[in-house]
Amino acid sequence: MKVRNLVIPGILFASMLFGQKASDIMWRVHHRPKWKDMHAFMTLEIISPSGQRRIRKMESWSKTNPKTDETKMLILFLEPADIKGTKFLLHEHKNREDDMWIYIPAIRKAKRIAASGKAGPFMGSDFSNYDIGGGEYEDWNYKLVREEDYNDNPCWVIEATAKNKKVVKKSGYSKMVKWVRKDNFMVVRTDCYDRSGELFKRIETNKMEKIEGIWFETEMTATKLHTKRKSVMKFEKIEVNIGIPDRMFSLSALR
Amino acid sequence: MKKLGKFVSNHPWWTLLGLLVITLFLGYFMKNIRVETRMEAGLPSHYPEVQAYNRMKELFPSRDVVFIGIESDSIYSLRTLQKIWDLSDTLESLKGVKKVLSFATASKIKGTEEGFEVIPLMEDRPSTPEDCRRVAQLVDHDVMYEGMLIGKSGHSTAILVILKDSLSQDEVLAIYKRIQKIVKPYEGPEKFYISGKPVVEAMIAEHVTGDIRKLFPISILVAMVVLFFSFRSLRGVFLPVLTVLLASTWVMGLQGLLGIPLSLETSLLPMLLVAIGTAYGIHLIHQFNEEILAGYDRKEAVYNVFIKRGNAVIIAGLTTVAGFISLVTSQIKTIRTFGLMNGIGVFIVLFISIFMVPAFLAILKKPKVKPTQSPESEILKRLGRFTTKRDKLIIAISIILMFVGAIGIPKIKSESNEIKNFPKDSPIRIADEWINREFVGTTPLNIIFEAKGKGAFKNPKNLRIVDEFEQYVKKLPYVGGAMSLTDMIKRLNQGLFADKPEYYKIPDSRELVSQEIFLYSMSGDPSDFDALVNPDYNVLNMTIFIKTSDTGELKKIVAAIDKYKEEKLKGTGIKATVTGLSRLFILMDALVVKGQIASVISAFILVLIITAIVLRSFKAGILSIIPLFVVVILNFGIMGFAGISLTHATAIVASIAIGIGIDYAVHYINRYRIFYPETRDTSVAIERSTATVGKAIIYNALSVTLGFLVLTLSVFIGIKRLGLLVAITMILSAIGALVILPAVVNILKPGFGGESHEG
Repeated sequence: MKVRNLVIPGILFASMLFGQKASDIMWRVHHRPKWKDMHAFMTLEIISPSGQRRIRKMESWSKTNPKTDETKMLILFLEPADIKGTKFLLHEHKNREDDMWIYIPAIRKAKRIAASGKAGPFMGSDFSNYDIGGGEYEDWNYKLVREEDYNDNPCWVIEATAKNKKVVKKSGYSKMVKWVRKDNFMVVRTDCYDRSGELFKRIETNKMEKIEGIWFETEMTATKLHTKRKSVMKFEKIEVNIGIPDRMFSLSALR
Repeated sequence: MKKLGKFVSNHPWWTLLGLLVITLFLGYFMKNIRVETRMEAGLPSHYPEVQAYNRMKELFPSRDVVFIGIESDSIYSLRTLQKIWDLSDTLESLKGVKKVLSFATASKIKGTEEGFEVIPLMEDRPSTPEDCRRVAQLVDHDVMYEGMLIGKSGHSTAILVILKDSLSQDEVLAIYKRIQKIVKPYEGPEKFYISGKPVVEAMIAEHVTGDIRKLFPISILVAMVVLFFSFRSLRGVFLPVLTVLLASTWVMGLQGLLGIPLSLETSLLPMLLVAIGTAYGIHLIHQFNEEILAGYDRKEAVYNVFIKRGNAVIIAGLTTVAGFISLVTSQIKTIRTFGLMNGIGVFIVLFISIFMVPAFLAILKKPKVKPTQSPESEILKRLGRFTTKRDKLIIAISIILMFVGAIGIPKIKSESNEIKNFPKDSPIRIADEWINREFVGTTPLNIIFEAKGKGAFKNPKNLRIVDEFEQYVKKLPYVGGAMSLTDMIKRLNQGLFADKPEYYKIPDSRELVSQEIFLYSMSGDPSDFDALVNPDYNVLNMTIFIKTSDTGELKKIVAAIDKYKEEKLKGTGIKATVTGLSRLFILMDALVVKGQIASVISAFILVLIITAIVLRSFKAGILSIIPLFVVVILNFGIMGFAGISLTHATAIVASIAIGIGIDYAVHYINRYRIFYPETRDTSVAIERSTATVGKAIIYNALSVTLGFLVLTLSVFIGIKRLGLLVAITMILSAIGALVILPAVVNILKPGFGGESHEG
């Protein structure tokens, strides 16, 4: 009896004392193991409040250098028809700005593009570039606010507060609240607070799969809470560790 | 009347308790009152112009922009740029703000042989002269910034604060106040000017409540002074004042209960009720005093008040109600609501006067009333004699005055831009005028282009049609600039081809257009397109910046656009609709004019019917409205000659003038019909009528005039003029009843006698 009475206050006390714990959880979220490479078909669907849908279909290849942990990615656009054949190439860098190119089939030329603001929307959707990039672990102060079940899965609820103004400007968020599954360290829900501190967006993981021992989100939804506009991103026909050659990601392969 | 009289004289306490209960009930709902001064709220939603505007607001994101103009001797100096950065940074994290557009947040398309970039003008807070030079170089000669972020003089720039959609007016006002507070410490040597539609509307909302707070006590004070001179007794002052206080509470409570927001017009209600409503109490107390003087006790006196004065008071009230109700014919919601609420308000004053004043008189100690001297004054007698002797001259002068007035009528200008409601030296007006001078303008016109099929406006053929349209519009007089998707596409194309000037054009293939837009969405902010085109690319929004708020010029621009539309868009499959704030101003103008004509006619008809019924003679009805014709025409003549424009405020004047002015004529004719059968001599009857009723009419007119003059202390030019015009028309109506009416009667010699309802 006595022991049980102590459990809940004990947890609360521990979570207050060990703010460290939240940081540890988030460190594990950000440093999950990666595949060597991946090939998949992606669908990005933007649904307006009135129910109108716009669909973008893409094919993607990506590969991570195990030594530097830098990822290269190629996206080929399949739909809508008028941008079919457009390609996007990304070379991620740890210590400098990423390199990005876009191949424009209408003029048969590749153009280097500069990174747009990370807070900006990803391909006009409700996901931001920051959401897609997964964010940076070092940008935030973490606090474990409570533990609760989310869709029947025990989760930690962690509040991530921007370390400084620069982070707020870069990410477009002053604060995020994340639901992290205890069993696999996957984020299943993120509530995003805008620069004025107002809750405005929710990102949910609808589906996840364990492929070759690694968990991966295969369907996510981002909803703007005021306008009810939402975007759904799906991954299909995922193949991993198939030995994609490096030349797939070279600038000359773009043309 | 007899039943009423019996009830009130027998149960004064119950009557007062009943009134108290209603007052508490309605007073409670005063807390629900909110202010609404957005122009769209006043316009009828079934008009195609309004529907087009609402559709545009649905399709394209918020156009509610707070415009902060910055005047600096050097806009690219480190000091100024740092201020812009800091301000933009602070403003962006303000609640209710969607986006901030300034040098600190804007980016520029830059194309080279190998690259395409959308680069921010400022990467970070500028700290070196190089940072400043960079901004200046990037901004230089970019069409995207001219008129938007760079003013004409080259010494001005702007921060555009784009507000979130669907904010309430209170929220907008709060944001504006925050912005003012935030900007304040940055003043000097830079000068800051804040304006924009939401600011103007928020300022009106604030001054509307401020006006009530300031003007209501003053009008009560004025009424008390007038009442004191009229009665020289405490009850004579407090009973009528209590009546209008209660009535104001009821009306405001009713507005809160019914959820009718306070507008510029309805905010006048309490002041108007004071100006109009005390008169009813005055009549009743006078009669009571006469009865006491005649030796009746309190109860009998109260009963007699009902029998002898009840009808006359009710008639005077009902004609006033009719005058206000005539405004219901207006198409403008705020005017209609004003008319209705005022009609109800006057009815309530009437109701409370009839119950409360006698009830109090029945309870209060019997007053000591000194007999007044004979009400026939020598001067008025002479006036009466003059009107009979010089009747033809008076008529001739009246006719000449009407002609002169009529000449002034076509000179009346109508005006719907709310900014003109603020005094020329008010900060908001100065800011608005400076911004309109330096930048493209705060009241845009929009053309919505629609074509069939998704992606229609990625088709170069359609884009070129829109582009040619835009080039045509830009050349029209008073057009400061125009902006549409085509400008963006041309700039993108140029960027893709290494910024070579010859590529500043619409590309030839639809694929290229799409891929350019896609390119931009990958490297810039795709929401930059939100205001230009819908997500399906089949509705396109062109914004035209207008440098004038003159409705006549606006109409010419719209007509030119319509003509071009007819000629050039035929057979192209593209449909164009002209809308935007400026278009609403034109509609508002047309509706004010139309509503003015309708309400004047219906006011005359309503008042004629009421007076004809009351006086039991159509002839007498016609006679009573003759002086009003002269007054109303003179009112419009004065507006024309004095350059007082017709607005939704001044459009109310004629109806008020008719509704109240008629009372004087009715009083006069009533009195004449008592004296005429006695003397059977028109001139003698006129002389005696003028001498007896003249004083009452002049006092009454003066008290209403003073009541309305209080409105000239308002912040708003429209309200000041409304007050002044009503004051003038009241004096004219009194003159009409005491000078023109007798002259007409003397010439026509109408042989009516018969029943009178007075005394």
